Amino acid sequence: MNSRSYSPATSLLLQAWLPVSLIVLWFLLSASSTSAFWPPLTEILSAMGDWALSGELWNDAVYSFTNYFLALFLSLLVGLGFGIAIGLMPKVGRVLDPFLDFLRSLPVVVFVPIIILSLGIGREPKVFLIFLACVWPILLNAIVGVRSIHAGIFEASDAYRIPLRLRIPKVVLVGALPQIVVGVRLAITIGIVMLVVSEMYGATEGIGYFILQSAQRFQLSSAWA
Amino acid sequence: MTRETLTSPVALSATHVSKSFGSGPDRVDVIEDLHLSIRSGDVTCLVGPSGVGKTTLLRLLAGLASPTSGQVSMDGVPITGAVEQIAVVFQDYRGSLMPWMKVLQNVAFPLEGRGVSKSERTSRAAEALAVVGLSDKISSYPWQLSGGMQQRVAIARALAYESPILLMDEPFGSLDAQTRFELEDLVLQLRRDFGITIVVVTHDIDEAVYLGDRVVVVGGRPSRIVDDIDVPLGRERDQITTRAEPAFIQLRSHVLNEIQL
Repeated sequence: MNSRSYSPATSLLLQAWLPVSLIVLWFLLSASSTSAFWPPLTEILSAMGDWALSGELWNDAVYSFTNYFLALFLSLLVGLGFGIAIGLMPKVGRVLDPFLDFLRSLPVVVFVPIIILSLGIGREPKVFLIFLACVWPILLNAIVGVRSIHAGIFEASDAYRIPLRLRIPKVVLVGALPQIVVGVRLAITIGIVMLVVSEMYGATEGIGYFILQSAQRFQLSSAWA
Repeated sequence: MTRETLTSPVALSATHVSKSFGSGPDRVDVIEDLHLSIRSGDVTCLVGPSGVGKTTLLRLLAGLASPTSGQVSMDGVPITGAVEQIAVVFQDYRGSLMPWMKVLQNVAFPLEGRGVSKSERTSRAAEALAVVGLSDKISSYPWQLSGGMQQRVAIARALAYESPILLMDEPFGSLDAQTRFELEDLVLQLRRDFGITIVVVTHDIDEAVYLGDRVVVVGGRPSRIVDDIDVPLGRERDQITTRAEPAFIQLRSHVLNEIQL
C-alpha cells in the first residue's frame, strides 16, 4: 500500500519495456541470420501469418484448446472431489498417501506411448493425457488444503451441526481455497505442456502436431511460429 | 458442602462416565466414573488445574466426544452426538469463527443448517449481536476485531442458535483482565435475561467463584469430582463488591486448597 500509484499509461510502460525490448533485440539479432536453425523474426512472423491465413491456425488452436479445457474441467471435477473426500477422512488418507506420492512422482510423459497404443489416436487419449497430468496438482493440493483448515473450524461445525450439504461448499471448499488455487495454477501450466506433448504422438491436427510437422519438414520458421 | 437435594430440574447429566484415549500400554485414562448433574438455570463452573481433562469433560457433555463407558444424557435422553439444545463457545475463538465469513454470516450460519429462512437468520443474528454490543461490527471480518470482540461474536453465535444450554470452554482464558470482567458480566446477563443454563470450564478460581451458582472442583488423574459447592453469593454479582465479600474470599481459598491437594 505504501508504493506510489502510477497512471495506467506509466504502469503499462513499466510492465512492457522488458518484453518489447527483448522482441526488438530478437528482431535485430536475427535479421541477418542465415542459420537454418535461427530464422529471422520476419520470416517467423510471415510463417505465422500464412498459418493463420490458411485457417489452420484457427483449426489447430480450437482443436487443441477444446482438448485442454475439457481435460482441465475433468481434472477439476475428479481432483476436487477425491481431494476433499480424502482430506476429510484422515484414516483413508493415511492408507492412500504412499500410493499418491508414488503415482504423482511418475512423469506422465512416460504414459504417452502406452495410452496412445491403448486408446488410439483420436481425441480421447489426448484429453486423457492432459487430464492425467493436471489431476495430480489439483488432487494433492486439495487434500493439503482441507487438512490445513483449523481443527476448531471443524469442531465448531460439529457443535452447530452444520449439515454436509452446507459444510462442503461453505466450510471445506472455501477453507481449502487458497491451496486449491495453487493446485489449479500448477495444473494450467502443466496442462499446456501436456497439450503440446500429447499432439506430438499419433496426432493429425492441433498445435503440437503443427510444431512437429514443421520441424520434421525443416520449415523452421513455421515451427518457431 | 456436597449437596444431594436438587432444587431445579436436571438439564444435563453424566452417569458413570469414563473416558480414555489410546489402548494397550499407551492407554491414558482421563476421566473415571464421573457423576455430574447440571441443574437447569444455573451457572455451573467446572474448575480444576490445567491438563485435568476439563475440556474432555465439556466435549463429552456437548456430545462432541463419546464416553468410553457410561452415559451423558439431557432431560433423561442419552446424547450420542451434538444436539440442537446445546450451544458451545470454544476457548480458541481464532480457530472457531470462519475467517472467510463476515461477523453477521458467522452468527447466522448455524441457523442455515437448521433451515431457518434467510430473513429470519439475518434478524436473529443481528439481534444476538446487539445483545453482545457488536451492532456496529456486523460487516467486519472476525480477524479485524480484537480478541474480546471475537469471543463476543462466538457468544452471539451461541445466542442466535437459541439453545437452552450453553457450554463454554475456557472462554476468557486468553483475554486481558478488563475484557474478561466485561465478558463475565455478559455471561451473567445472559443467564438473567434469557434463563440459559450455562456451564463454564475454567482454570481460574476467581472466575469460577464469581460466575458460578455452583462450583464443581475437578482433579486427580484420572479425573474425578473433588468437591461440589453451592456459591452463597446470590444471583446479582458485581466485579468490585462481590470480589470483596468475605464469602467470596473464603470460598476462593477453600477451592484453591482443594486444587493444590
